Amino acid sequence: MADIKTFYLPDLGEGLPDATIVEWHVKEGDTIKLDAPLCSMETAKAVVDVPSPYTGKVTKLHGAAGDIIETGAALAEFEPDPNAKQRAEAESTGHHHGPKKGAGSAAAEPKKVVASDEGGEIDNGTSDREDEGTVVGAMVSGSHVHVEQASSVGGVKAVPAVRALAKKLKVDLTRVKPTGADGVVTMADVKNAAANGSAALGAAPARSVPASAGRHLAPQLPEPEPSRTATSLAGKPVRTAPPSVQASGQPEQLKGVRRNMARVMADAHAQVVPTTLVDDADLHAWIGKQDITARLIRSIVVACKTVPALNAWFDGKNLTRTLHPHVDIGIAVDTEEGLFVPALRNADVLDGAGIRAAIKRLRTSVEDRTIPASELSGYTISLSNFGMFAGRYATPVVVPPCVAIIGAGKLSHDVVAVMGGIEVHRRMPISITFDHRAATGGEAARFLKALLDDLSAPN
Amino acid sequence: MAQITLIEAVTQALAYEMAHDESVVVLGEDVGVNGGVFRATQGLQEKFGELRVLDTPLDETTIAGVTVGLAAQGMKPVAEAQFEGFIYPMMEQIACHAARMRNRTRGRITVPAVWRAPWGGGIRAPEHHSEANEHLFTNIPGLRVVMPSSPARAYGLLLAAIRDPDPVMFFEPKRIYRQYKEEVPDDGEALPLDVCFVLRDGTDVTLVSWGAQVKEALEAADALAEEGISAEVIDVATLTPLDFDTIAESVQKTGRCVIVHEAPKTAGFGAEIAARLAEECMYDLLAPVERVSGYDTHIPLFRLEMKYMPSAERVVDAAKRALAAS
Repeated sequence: MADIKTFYLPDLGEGLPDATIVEWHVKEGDTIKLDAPLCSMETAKAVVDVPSPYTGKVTKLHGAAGDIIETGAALAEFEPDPNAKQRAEAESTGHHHGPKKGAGSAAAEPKKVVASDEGGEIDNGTSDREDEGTVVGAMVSGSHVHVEQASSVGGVKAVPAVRALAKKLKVDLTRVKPTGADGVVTMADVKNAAANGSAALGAAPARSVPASAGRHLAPQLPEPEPSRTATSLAGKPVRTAPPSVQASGQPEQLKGVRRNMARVMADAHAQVVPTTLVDDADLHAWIGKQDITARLIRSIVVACKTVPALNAWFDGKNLTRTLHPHVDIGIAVDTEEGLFVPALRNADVLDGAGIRAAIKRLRTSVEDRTIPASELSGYTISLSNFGMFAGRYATPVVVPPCVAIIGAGKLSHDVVAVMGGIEVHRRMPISITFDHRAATGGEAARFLKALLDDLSAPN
Repeated sequence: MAQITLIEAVTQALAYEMAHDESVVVLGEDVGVNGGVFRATQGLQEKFGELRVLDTPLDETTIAGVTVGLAAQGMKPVAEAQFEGFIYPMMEQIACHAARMRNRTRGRITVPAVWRAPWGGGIRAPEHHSEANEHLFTNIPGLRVVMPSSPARAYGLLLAAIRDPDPVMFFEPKRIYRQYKEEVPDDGEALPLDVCFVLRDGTDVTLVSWGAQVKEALEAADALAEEGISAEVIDVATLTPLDFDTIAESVQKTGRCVIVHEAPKTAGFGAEIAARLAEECMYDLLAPVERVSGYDTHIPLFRLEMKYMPSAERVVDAAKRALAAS
């Protein structure tokens, strides 16, 4: 005898008690394919097509158009085609009634769903059935237990949650003493380190981008302990490497000001024909303590007035030069992020106090990054006062369209031959690089002489 | 220690916080007597009473508005949007009031509320029951958007969300509600918000995902590993505010990024991550950023549903495209 399967009306919405047959798409005796429309039914929400749960012959239809069918009551009977592909017994169609498992499939057990004689409520039988945990759809349930493993990055063993917490609390995992089994850093270890500040991130020099977050992926080396011991922070023997072994660093993308500097310098190198003259300004005649930068600025202004050819802009493409009636000096300021060259405007009309105030303002605005872009361009000549650190002579780079740059080196007491013997004089080494496309060697030398003469004056 | 599913972890977190903080209340449709359509609040009303587990009318606007009011006046409400697709009526209250209250009152009043919503597709649900629309909320200033990808993270992040002084959208990936279990101690330990979780360390390609799709990302990483390709897997977990640094550091290392999300591609949250990578990591990238996502259509009903969802195979293909680029 053929295996007859009964198909019970699934819940077509969310907990709807019944649905009305609108139209059958098949008659008794018809064959139907799996998922082909069996009938249209109207619920309180919508008219939906109910797909066939089997491929086979329809042997009985429970109800005609207009009849109300309770959710869970028999809707149709089938003789499945044994040679056709059927839906797997346990596979849910996503429709079921209440918490019953597998309704709408052949796995349904009719005796579990009882429509009352009065067409009333169905016994939902929740007490003796497994709860699928959803009123719609089919929820995949699994009892597999997943365990997140501790991974070992940069010599630190920790699970993702611990790494995330360390990042949140700005704790450097490489400096946390692990207490977990197998040297694993635990949540408590990170919290303790955060509380006692023993492993704060940021003790290392700040990097530009990104911030410390995520440093666990490329941990910095721990800060050297004040007293070296034979064991590492992780309690392991300290590894030593032969001197020939070099730690190889990660390439770091230049950003911002430093990146701009690289571009500007390469551009200057490609265009300018640089020539450098060096000499020393003798400050022996100076009376009292004087502001070296202010004197330098004044001397540059004097030299610009004496030889205007170096206080100029040069256009190499059109071979034109522009001599400037005013002197705006670009002053190189070195910062961690890179080189800034703010413009000291109208240096030719400022007195000593004005120059000092202007320079102070420029330095401050560079340091706190409030300097507008308009203040970082348009100078007519520039000054690099590298001597405050070290170095006597240099070949500073002329950045187009400027024609000249002056470098001031470190002051020193030199033995100087004078008429009738030798003396020790304080001297300032001066270098000037000029673009030989725009000025002659003679002009540069005369410029340098004017600068040195003014710098040598007593006041 | 209990081995529990993601949905049980939600229940466990709610129960823990309600037991330890009397200002925490739960409200929503069918959350009380019924225990929630997915059983997230099962047993809570019996344990904490009808005043703390409120069955509301079928009215999302009211649920959201009452939640804002409760939170603004000192309670810590956890509201349930029965499905992500029912959240649209709530958005007016969330966007116009919850997200703005701190700003509007210059910090005088905050809204320490959580909106939970079963999120995403993959359970053969009817229309409106499979939405993945987290990107609608990540664009609203003043909101945190959090999506757990495992039972342990559901427990820890939900605790953190309830304790946070500002409104949190807590989207629960329902496809993996009961898919697997994890040991989750009921110790009240919150996990950090606003940071990504690096689930797998790798050197060749970065797979970035959140919610249910983290599973596909991990499966893809396993498949790639068999071919000798080392994939880093990042679970974003808190979408906004985004811990972009972790993603950037990873991409600086691998040079390649595949973003996996279920929501439609256009203007999905993957677009934000891709844009940030273009802005900040352009010179670290060795290949175009790939996005494996749903399509720009409504999620189809169950016969086509899994074709819509990002699969591990699609993620593997995208990773290989990125590897072939340079």
